Amino acid sequence: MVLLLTSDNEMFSVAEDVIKRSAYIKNMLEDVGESDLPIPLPNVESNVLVKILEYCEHYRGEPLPASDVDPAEIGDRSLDIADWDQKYMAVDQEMLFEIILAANYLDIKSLLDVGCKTVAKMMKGKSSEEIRTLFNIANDFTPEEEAQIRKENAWAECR
Amino acid sequence: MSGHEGPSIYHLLDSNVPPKPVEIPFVESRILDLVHRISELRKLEQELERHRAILSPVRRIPGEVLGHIFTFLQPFENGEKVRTADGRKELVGLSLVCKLWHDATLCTHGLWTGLQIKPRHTI
Repeated sequence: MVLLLTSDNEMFSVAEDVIKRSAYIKNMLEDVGESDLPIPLPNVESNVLVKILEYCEHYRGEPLPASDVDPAEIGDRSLDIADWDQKYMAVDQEMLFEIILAANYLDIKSLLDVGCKTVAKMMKGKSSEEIRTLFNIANDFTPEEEAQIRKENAWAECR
Repeated sequence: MSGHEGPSIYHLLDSNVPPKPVEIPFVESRILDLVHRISELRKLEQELERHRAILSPVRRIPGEVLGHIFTFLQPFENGEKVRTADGRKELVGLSLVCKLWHDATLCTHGLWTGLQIKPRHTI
């Protein structure tokens, strides 16, 4: 078993084959070897780790994806998401981004991809203003800066 | 309460009796007061959303992860990246969301490949 200590000081005892889906933990275990000391996760809160472990548990036993293959290079950029993953990602926006942040920190590539796809699907076909409203993002461009970007990218509007 | 001295108009709220001419200005004043207070509440609501946005995890998403999200919007045709006019417009739209997103689109080189541009003139 592997002990994990979250940022809010909650201790989790997790089976090694479950948490090894995280390349970060897998590498750490390989580097450090067996230890009774908990692995601190200062960037992950307990409620998020519970969700991350749910994912790792579901895919327990499934082969780990090859980390050196970039899906962009093999054309696997569809926005299709498996049924279970879709249900798993049916969370509020805050949790969705927390999962993405944790998946990035823990280096769980497949989970990061599912999170990113979910956000991409939410954004698909939306204007800049609609995306700002959707994610509560402030427009920090001055009107001059915005006009400049539009001018620089006018070529992109050509048919 | 509007704070204005005048006849009580509360009996009019729970009845269908038309107001007396002397009561009409006080009803109008009360309406203006309520409209003003609702407008102030809407401003506060906007302010609340702006403050909530400060704590939103979307602000903590690093540029490279944003770029990773954007790559899923990259259109593919027969397994190849093809960014037609609509795809290019979408990319510019992403770069106009905010400064962080603008930088993320520029730093994600993969987004700028596969651009399909038709020449305006033929030789």
